Amino acid sequence: MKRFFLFFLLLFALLLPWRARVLFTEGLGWVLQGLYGVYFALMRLLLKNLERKRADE
Amino acid sequence: MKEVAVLFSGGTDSTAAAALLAQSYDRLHLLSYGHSGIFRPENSRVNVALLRERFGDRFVHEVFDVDRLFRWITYLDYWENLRRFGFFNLTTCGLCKLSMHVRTLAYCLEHGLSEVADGANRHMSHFPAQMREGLDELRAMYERFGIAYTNPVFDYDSPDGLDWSHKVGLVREKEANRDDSETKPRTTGRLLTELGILERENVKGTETDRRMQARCFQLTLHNAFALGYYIPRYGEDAYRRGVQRFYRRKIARISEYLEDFRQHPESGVLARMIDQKT
Repeated sequence: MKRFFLFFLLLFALLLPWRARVLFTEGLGWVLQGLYGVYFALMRLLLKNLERKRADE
Repeated sequence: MKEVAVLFSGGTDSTAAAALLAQSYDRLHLLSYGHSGIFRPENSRVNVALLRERFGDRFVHEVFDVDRLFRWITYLDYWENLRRFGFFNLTTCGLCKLSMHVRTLAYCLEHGLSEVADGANRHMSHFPAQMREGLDELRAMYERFGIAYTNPVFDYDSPDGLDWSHKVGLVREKEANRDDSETKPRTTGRLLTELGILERENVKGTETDRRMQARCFQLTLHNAFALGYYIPRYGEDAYRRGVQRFYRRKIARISEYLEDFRQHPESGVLARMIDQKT
């Protein structure tokens, strides 16, 4: 599934002209940063709650 | 006077390469590059100032915009390359670095320099211009024009990068309390601290690191191809062979234009591509 998705994403990028490809990649970079951001923010929240819980105990 | 050109991003590896060379060269031409998708290439000035503090005023620092050159190199013989190499045309990091090397080579021809170095390191080997096969192709390109190309920090160890505690947002606290004794021996960061250029040896992935070099997300596409698609499917050896074939072909074509540039530095295709200086 992942490979299938990547294949079409790469195929699309391959056909883009210069400026559009740069913008597309920049956007892709920000989307990934966003996903990482959400993931690590959630992890941080969980970690803090666990620490608070342990301190309460 | 002994002179050398250094491809200089301002990161620890290229700064370490420059610091090593500064011990035996009279003048170093530090060449930094920007293009669409690279933000703040001027950040490289931070470490140029530190190098000047340590070794005196023997550094010439230039920042070039290689956008036009990068685009031209990417789309040179595009349809034929698509047919022959497919997704290897999306190895954007390799094509970007190739455009920087072509600009560097032109700079060397313009200034009569016969030596070039950079901060290529074996630990970033999925990038074409950091893997041995890619470096060999680049070396051959320079050799054709009588220029020696070396990688002074290629065998240096890699420091620990971002760890989990950085990623959950504890970066600043962690950076302040970073235990440098845990890093492996012989990293470029350690060399720079020993030379008194950096205060902390392990800055990779930290705010300090981000302040001293450009930011670029264009590697997303390259990584999607190499790490997400090709290597898991065909393996690293096939990837390396593919990279070598693709870049050998690219470099052979570009060398024809470089030869023309050597004969006619004021006119021709390449002269029009490399006239951008920021």
